[in-house]
Amino acid sequence: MSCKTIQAKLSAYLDGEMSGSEMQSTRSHINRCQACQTELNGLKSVQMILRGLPSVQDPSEMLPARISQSIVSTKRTNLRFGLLLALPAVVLAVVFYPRPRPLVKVQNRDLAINRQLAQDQIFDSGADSTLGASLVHYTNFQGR
Amino acid sequence: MFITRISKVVSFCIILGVTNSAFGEDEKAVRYLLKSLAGDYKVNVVAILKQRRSDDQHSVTVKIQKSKDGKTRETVLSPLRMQCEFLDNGKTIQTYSPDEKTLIIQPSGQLSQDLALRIPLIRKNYSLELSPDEKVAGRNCVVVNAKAKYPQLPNIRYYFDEKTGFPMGKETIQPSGEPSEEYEVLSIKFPATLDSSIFKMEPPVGYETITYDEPTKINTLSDAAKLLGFAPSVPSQIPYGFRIQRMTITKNSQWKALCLRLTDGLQKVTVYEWIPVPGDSIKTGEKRIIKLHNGINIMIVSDIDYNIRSTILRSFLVMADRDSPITLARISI
Repeated sequence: MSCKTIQAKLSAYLDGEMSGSEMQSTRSHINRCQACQTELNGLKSVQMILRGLPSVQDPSEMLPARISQSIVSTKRTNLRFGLLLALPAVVLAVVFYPRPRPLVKVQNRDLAINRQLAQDQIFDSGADSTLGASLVHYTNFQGR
Repeated sequence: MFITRISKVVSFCIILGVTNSAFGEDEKAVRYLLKSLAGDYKVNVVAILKQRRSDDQHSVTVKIQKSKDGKTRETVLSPLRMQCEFLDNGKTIQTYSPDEKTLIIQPSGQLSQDLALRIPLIRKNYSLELSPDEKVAGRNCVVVNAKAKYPQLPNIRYYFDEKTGFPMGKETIQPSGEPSEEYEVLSIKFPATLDSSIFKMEPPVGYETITYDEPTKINTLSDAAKLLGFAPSVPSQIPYGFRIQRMTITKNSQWKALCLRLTDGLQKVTVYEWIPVPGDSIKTGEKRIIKLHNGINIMIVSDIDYNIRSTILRSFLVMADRDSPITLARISI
């Protein structure tokens, strides 16, 4: 299957809405293909957001990209004029760009809490080999 | 480890005054529960089982390989999106997730089994009865009904392999009569030997290893307060016959929290308490309820029914408010 075909089906793959053989071939492709892995990770991030876990890009990381994007597009029209416009824009952006709130730290902390919770619940389930509970402890902690 | 488990079972049989010649219905049920609690089956096991939860769309199929000496390998066979491998050697649990390409290493929970507390609690909070034997996956099974003495709690029915005591099935029945969780062994074998390579984890190249430390065990609330920087709220009595099984503090630089393990003998609940940081967005979820109260986040995590969780959480909130007048009616969860 091509990357285009695989990427069109990633949502179904994550939701377990494929047949077994289709899941296997998709997984096999993803394991070999960096582009599809990236696409899958992006989709997972979206799902995390939908589950209420914030996935916010740090504005400080976006700033250089915005500036360079601005410069490149300006070059296409008029290099000199563009530079004249871009330089003050850069200066203004640097001076007035709001200091990023520690969104990444907060996000990392939320992720840290969720991961720690998951491990803690596995530990707790593992303490209970009783009655089959530990047999499926991985699936039990999902969604907690 | 195997000898330790045997000695645990033997000592509890002595404590309970249970002998082979004196097994009544209740004692027979307890004997099977004990065997399962200790994970002491005296045989190698290879089994395929299926678990269903009423709130899940998909059932999960798991292959389990368990050695006589307590080592366990579990492989989630389906759905593929949940595929992963576990290896529990009694000291550590290794979890390999192919999707995440991570190998998580953490202490085995087997280290914290607490039969001395749980067996008396099971006797106190449940009446144990035997139903006529049934066949599961071709094996004759002893059927134990654990009927909760609190009518709000679910009843649980267990199916134990008559010869080995291996748990062959479990059904959790809510007071409404609806089954909320069930698992069933689909096929089982008891091979004389298991290849030692089964109990070695060798993930493919390129995986990331994450290590988690065992949480710090705490014995007193004053010790907990010193480590946490706040006085945790712990009620002297917890509803529905639950008791504190274990008190720990997370070893996590980003999240220092008190973890209280509660049990009524069969059901389990964890309560976490911590000081939130501005911007924290951990929210109430499918299996957890969080309340911010007097500057402390109190969160309860459990598979048990929402209303039961809410009531237990209330007991913690009321305790947190012991210095200010507040009534249960004012707390809406």
